[in-house]
Amino acid sequence: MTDGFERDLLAYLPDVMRFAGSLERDPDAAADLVQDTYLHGIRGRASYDPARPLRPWLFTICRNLFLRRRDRARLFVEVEDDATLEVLANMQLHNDVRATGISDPFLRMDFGPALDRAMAALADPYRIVFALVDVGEHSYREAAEALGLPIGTIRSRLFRARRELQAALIEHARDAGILNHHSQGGTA
Amino acid sequence: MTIPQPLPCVDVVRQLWDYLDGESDPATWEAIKAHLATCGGCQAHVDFCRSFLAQVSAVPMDPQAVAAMRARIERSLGATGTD
Repeated sequence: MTDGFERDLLAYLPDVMRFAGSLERDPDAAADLVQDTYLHGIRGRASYDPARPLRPWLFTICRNLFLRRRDRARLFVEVEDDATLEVLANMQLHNDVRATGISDPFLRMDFGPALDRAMAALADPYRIVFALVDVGEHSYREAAEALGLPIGTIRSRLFRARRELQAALIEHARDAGILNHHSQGGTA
Repeated sequence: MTIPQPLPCVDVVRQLWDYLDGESDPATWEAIKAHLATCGGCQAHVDFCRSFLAQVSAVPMDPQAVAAMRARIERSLGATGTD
């Protein structure tokens, strides 16, 4: 059914599914994106340089297909990020966690489903940068080039995305009884 | 010889993701590393963020969902051919 190249590509299927699922909010759209990524990869094998690793090549196909069918105007929307407020919110969040005496709350929760819910609540400009860098393993420069945005915008959107995701995960940990509520408050 | 100024905590937190992502310039990386050696609060903050990134990269996919997706891809390859 599958030849060696296809088998090699399919070895990365869980990674591509994770990446597509972080780019696309809708599970059906994510599944279509995964399928299209593989069809393009297998049909486009002539463009693959065997000296280069397969996984980033697949991620690039997946990213390009996603961006091609996306309303790019929504990615370029201007968003106001106050860097100082973001830093202070980040410090407050961590101080709240430290006050509970639990230093590793992420290890104590069912992290994957909680992260998926938190990502689904992120606005597209933040979620997509997070998906490219933290799931698709793009450098800041690669993400900036893919999205046509300044590297400083990637940096600030990533900072806020991670802070919002951490805050949502900490809230989840409190709701699940993993962290107590006595220090809650003060974080946005 | 220029003596580097110690970084305040707020500047370390501002740049901690660059530090963890390997995106800092060498001088900033060294300054953050020196700060962390003497600041338990910032070191705990960096550990917290490092733990977050490690968990993000370790999220597993459901094996049944992967098997179903693999079957779907193989069906579509069979239906359309690969040439």
